[in-house]
Amino acid sequence: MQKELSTILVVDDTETNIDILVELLGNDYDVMVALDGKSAIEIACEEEIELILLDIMMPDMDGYETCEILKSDLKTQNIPVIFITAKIDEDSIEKAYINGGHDYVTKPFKPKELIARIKTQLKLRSLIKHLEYISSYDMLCGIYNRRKFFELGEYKFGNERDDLFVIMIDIDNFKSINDTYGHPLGDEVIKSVTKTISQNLPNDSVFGRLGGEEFSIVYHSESKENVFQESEIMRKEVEKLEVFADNGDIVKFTISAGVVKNNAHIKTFDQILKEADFALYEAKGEGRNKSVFRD
Amino acid sequence: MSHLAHNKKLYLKILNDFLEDYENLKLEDLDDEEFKRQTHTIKGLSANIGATSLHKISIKLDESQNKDLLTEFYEKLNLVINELKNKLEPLESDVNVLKEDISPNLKDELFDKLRDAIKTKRPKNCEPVLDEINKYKLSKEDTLLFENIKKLIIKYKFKEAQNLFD
Repeated sequence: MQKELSTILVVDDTETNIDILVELLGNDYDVMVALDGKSAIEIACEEEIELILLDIMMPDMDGYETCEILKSDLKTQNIPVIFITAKIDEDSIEKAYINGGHDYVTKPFKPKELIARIKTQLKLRSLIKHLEYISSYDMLCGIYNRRKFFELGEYKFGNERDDLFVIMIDIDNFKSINDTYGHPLGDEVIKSVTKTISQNLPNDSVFGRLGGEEFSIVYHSESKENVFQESEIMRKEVEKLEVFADNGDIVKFTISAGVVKNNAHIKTFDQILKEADFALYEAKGEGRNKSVFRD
Repeated sequence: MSHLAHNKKLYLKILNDFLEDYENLKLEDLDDEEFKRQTHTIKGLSANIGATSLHKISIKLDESQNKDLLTEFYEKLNLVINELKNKLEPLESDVNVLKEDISPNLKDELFDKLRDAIKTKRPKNCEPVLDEINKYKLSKEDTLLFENIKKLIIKYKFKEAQNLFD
């Protein structure tokens, strides 16, 4: 039940206000409760909260400060906050928006207005999430698209750690698979390859589709031997895959991989990808279906 | 409160809570910050329970924080308190309801269920388990534990309720 309903966190130090909100919202939403700002922040970090109804006047940490902290944390900054308060002066309302509030509802609650405002914020939140998804993920295989891969990859590269590795991957002879069996089967091959690689990805990897049949993985690792071994595991797992064509053929396919480690000569994220590309060309030149590490 | 008109139990709880929380209120003993917070809360609650005169003076008190208004404030508050005292009947008690015996296994099972519900920090998850346990005759010790936990859940103090279990 909890997964189907949107989860709303109600934050208020007055029991009666919570009683009313739980009564109003409890049948249509999954309602959680916090009696103070500190507990609200804890809950927002631990749970999948989709909306927060936040009182302003609370002891110790007031609603403004609570909202400011929520907005400064990556994990909680996108949760919409509706302030609920008996304060109706313009300064208080302005302060609520300045501190990151998305909307403002006054007490005593007008149920229809409150529910309409909640619905609006949840709808906005869901639209933004959908937009974020379609602008970040590849529609065919569900891994990061080129734009998101570069955004996250640049971020990892920007940390200037020399334990950063890039693996560039390409499906061997993909054009001939498409030419022989058609694009729908080619799509099946791409899905099958990315699914297998995803299942074998090291922790904290960024894995994206750069275009066509080319993919890349960026991650930190303790040693190049580990990375090479991990690349080989992926290659061998892909080698086991099969896709069935309409004419009854069993289509098999392989990948080649170029692996590089970050170093002091590499100045940009584009450059490290280019180095990985050179390693990939070497792998192709050496007969495909192999991993090559380039120092 | 028109939206709560269909929910008599909740409406009575809110009125009872108001009576319990403000029957012995002494605003003059509070420091400035707490005074501000309390007058602000009463402003909201008085509107919720439909106490119009008290709400009006609470607005003035909240805006001005002028303690000269306290005499008038107490006059209005006492009117509400006295009316509540006269008209409110005690909340339905289950003391006289005939309760079923419970096996040790079922008791453990229900208490585990309650503990899990408390961990979710969701009032709606706790309610049915509280109602279920309420049907049974518990030992003195378990009754005491259950009543204490129930009080905390009703006040949304899930962490404290969880601590009582541990």
